Amino acid sequence: MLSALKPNVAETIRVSAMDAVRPFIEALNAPIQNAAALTRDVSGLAVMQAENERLKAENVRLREWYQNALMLEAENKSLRELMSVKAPPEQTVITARVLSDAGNAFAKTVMVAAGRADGVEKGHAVMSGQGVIGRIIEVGEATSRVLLVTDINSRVPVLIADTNQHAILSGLNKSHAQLLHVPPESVIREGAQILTSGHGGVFPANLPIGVVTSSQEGQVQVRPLSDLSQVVFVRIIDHKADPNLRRGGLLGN
Amino acid sequence: MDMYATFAERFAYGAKMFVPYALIVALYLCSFIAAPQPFTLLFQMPFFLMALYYWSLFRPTLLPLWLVFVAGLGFDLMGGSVLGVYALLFMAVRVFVTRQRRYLIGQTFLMIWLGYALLAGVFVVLQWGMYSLFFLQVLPIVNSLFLAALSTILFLPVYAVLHFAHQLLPMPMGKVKSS
Repeated sequence: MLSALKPNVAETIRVSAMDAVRPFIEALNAPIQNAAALTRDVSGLAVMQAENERLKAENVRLREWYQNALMLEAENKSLRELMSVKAPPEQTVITARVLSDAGNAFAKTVMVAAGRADGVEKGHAVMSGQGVIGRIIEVGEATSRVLLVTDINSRVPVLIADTNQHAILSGLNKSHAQLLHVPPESVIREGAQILTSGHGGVFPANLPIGVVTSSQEGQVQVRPLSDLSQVVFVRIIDHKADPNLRRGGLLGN
Repeated sequence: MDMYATFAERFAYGAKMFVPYALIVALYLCSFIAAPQPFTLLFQMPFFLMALYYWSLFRPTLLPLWLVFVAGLGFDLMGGSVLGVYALLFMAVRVFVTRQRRYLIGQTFLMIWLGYALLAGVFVVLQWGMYSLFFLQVLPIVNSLFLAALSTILFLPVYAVLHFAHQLLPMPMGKVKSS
């Protein structure tokens, strides 16, 4: 198989094909998106009223959180200055529409309408409104491919928020993923938040990614925060190198 | 179409040939659309497999083996999956169905429908086997089998549309319509 023997050649062909087919997919996508929006509008009036109430309540809670966040940010800044800690670099965000999926159930990838021309690079983290959904694995001029966290090839270094336990989130080609390298003695409760740990430098630290749905006999299942089949827009995060980290190397180099 | 055909006849011939190819391309691209709710499930159906089955059965010259190979390769490229899997599977479908057409073509619609149902199931199992072999892991298959079963229902309207396009087609070159 060419993709296994010559991955670079296969990748170049892939990204060219993605860029070439983008206008056709977009042309087919537009009426489908409009029809879906119309169907949702017509059939979802009652749902929208309930949603509106829920969002109003959530907005009140979020305002309180916002005030808290501002306060903590100021406190954090003054503490950093006090300790002369270099602040991590600002992240830039590119928003893009999801154009297409893999077309089969054995590969969990999506193609998004942003590429090299928009500043997207291989390895950038990709988020939906709720949390991390994957990372960029191929970049064309105007399109990119995202490897979803549920794909069998996906491995993301994560942190279990409750316990600060590090682990690897591994895809299974199912709707959920599993945690690897969790010590057998560690206690992980259902509903625990899973965040990116930032290890390896691909993902920024502390981005929400999922919640633990079951934890039995060393098998910890994690449900991604986003329904990956329903994501329409994504945010691609340019994760710049942290100045607090030093590049490794041999002494004398 | 003989060599003395007028420009108008040639144009009409080209226009009639355009319809099935436009349909094939549309069905092909539909497989990649990430449709939002409530159409998510609909666009996970193997549309191109339906078209491939239909034309391999009723007009194999429309989708020659090399074109099926290119289509499969395109599927692998755009889907971001292992290169060669779809190309091989689509070619196998084309060869198998064309060999069975002598038996199937005289059958009732029910038999043709059952033929598609069987093909969709076998296709998923083969695909699952190839990906599992490549990743050296037993991948989940239930969801894909469920989609294949659902696609047999969708095959009915797709068949109707393809049949309509088939009626528009001129006879293959060198053949004369029997009265």
